[in-house]
Amino acid sequence: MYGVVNKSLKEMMINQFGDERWQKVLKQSGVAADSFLSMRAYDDDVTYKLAQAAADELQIDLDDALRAFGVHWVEHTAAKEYSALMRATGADMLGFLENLNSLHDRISSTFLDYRPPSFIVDRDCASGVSIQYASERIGLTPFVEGLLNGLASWFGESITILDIRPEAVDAGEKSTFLISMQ
Amino acid sequence: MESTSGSEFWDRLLELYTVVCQIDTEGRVTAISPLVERVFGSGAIGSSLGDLFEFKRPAGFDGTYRAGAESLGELVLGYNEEKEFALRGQLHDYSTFGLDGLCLIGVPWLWWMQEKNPEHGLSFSDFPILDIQMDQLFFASAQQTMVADLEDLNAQLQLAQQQLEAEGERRQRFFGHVSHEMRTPLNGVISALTLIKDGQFDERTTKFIGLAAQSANRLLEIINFSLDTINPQLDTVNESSESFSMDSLIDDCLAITQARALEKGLRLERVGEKSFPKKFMGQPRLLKQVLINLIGNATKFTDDGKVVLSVASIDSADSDKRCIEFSVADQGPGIPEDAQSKIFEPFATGVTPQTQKSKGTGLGLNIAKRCVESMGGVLSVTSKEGEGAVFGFRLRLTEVSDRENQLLTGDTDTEAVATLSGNILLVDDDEENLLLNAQVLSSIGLKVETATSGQAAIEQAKNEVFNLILMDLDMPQMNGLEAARAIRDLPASKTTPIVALTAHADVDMKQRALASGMQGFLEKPMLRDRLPSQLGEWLELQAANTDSSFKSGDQGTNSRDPVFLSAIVERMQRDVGADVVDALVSKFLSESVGRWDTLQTALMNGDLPVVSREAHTLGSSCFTFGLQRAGNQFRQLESEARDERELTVNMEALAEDLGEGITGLEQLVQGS
Repeated sequence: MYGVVNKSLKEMMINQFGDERWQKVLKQSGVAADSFLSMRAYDDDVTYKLAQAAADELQIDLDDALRAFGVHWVEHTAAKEYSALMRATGADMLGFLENLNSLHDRISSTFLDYRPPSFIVDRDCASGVSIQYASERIGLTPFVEGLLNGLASWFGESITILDIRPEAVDAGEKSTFLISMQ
Repeated sequence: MESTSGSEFWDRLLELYTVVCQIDTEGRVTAISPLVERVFGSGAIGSSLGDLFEFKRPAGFDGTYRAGAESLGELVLGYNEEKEFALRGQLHDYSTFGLDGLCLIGVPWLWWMQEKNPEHGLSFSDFPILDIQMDQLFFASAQQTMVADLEDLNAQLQLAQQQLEAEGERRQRFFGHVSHEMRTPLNGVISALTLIKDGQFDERTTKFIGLAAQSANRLLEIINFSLDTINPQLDTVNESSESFSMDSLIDDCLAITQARALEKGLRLERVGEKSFPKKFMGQPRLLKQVLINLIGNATKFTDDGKVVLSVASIDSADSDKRCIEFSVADQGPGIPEDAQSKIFEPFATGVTPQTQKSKGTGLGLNIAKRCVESMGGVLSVTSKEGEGAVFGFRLRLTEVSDRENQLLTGDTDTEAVATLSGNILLVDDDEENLLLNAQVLSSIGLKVETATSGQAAIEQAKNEVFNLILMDLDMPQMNGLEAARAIRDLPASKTTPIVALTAHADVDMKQRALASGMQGFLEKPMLRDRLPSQLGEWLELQAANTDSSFKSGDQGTNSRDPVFLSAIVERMQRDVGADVVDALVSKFLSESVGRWDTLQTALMNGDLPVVSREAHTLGSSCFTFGLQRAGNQFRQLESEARDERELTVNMEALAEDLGEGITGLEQLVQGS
């Protein structure tokens, strides 16, 4: 993953819990680097180790840590560092998600190591709105759950995630979020 | 090509471009794309293109059909300030496709809008899929983030470096203090062991005492080496250049090392030039240390045969200087080639089988190497295993004539006193010292200007070029180091020698002074008959005056620290006159009372900066007027307060010594 993800995780820990606890997370994770360059590609393992160490340090479930990180990512990283792109990608959460693949396609043409997830929005499914998330990475569905809540908050919308349905895939991860829009 | 209807063609255009305006031959807009309609409304139809946009490119294009027809295929940049919308596109001739008029096709001009209207509300669908402006926008955002990351990282590294340097300095200071503190009791141990050795003991006890003495000496050598290491340039700034007899120096070295050679049944020979009739300017203490070290080493590793010291002059391109080559050859086991580069490293006791056997600290050759380097030479070794070793170096030394030597040392039959010529600037915030030293400097022929602050010195240096500037280091507001740096930056004073004038110059202070652009040091109090040799490096030496009143004398402090050294004041009276000294003593006595009170108050309040400052001023004055014992105690107090160490000076004893010294001073002044 690109360094911007690890940097955001570090920022979340320091802002919410202080530098001392971040240093503990770093030590516990065994990750050597203390600083991350946003657009440098790091091994995915670095992010996973940091997330697990943060969950251990905070004595919470890893999924809960990833959910919190998803919200932080939207509200404190994407919204600050890529606000122009966020605005250009959509005027509301569903519009944003519908254009997100297009944004990822464009990014892929510049950053060749980029391996983005994909999102398919169905505004008219039986239970309201469904968002299908697919990624070649495993274990990040809770992070996406946090992202959806963060996006809704950023666009001033209110949503309820009714259900998350994982789907069996040969590789990676696929989940469908059933959402009620208020 | 298959013909297409206007409508089909229009639809194809809209798949490729999002900003499309068709104009007829009158320049009126006849059709617009959905995005243009979203911005300008359907009312745009029928208006002229020039009413919708102001065009920046191509030059001269105003939106009319005629101008457009002359700009076909060129890049069109246009904007509408009011609507805060901009386009970038191209004009095409519709007649090519069997249609009337021109067509402006393009996309939103994203960079203009990012700059002028960041809240433009455009989305991905407003840009054709092949247009890369959105990609560029992301790339630019990413680059900005990277720059911010790197700046942040750089700031972190700078901070870490500063913290590391501060910690390093703190440890070095601590290490220096500890080493100094260790040296004092160790000297006591060594002295005691030396005295004990003179007694009568059985063989076993004598052996143990010898072992203890040997170990203590090695420990002292290590401590001395450690202190030298803290100062990477050795403490050679203390080693001012002075005249010396090469023959006497060599004789001394041979005499010191002779006993050990005889003990081992070795011959110690001197070859090369038989004698050096003239004296040289140089650093004899360092040279002696190197030669004794090399001869001692050669003796240690030679079991049979001889050790040869060779000293010979070789041709020198510089007529004022002679190049002297020194070498020490032994007949020891030699040094393997692969070990030769390592033997100058500190603690290199295990480099060769021979050094492994030696019981030294492994510091001698490293110290010798550094001493030679500080004198401007390079110590090298040539050796073959089994054929001994030769250590050698060359020094370029200035030869002095007998007369010059007499002038420099004051050692003349006629008691001539050398004089110097030149104009100098003397800087000192202490008016007593300033007046007194100005008189002393004038008396040896110098034209002296004075300044009582660093700032005043800078101003004077702007207006006048001096042959030399003598700068006190401890001055309020702007200290001597800052003033020296500022003067060094003045175009007219770039090469003017600046010499620090100080009562105490530790190694750190000397390093800082050299770093600030100063060339040397002159210790207070200033002694007239030593000035020619001390300042001769920078000022021109003149013919001597005959003045029987000046002879070299011991004015410095000795181990007993006399309470009052009357010779200093008597000399002062001869230098500047009894009246001037009377006035200075009166000023000193009246000011000392106030300063003593301030010092006492500061001690009670634990105000160490004030303690240090007042002790410095009182100490300087004491040395000026020969109150050596009190002066040394003030100096110690100043040092302890400055370094925030425990204050160990006995103030009652100091008060007593000060009072006794003042009594002696008053008696002398009144008596004269």
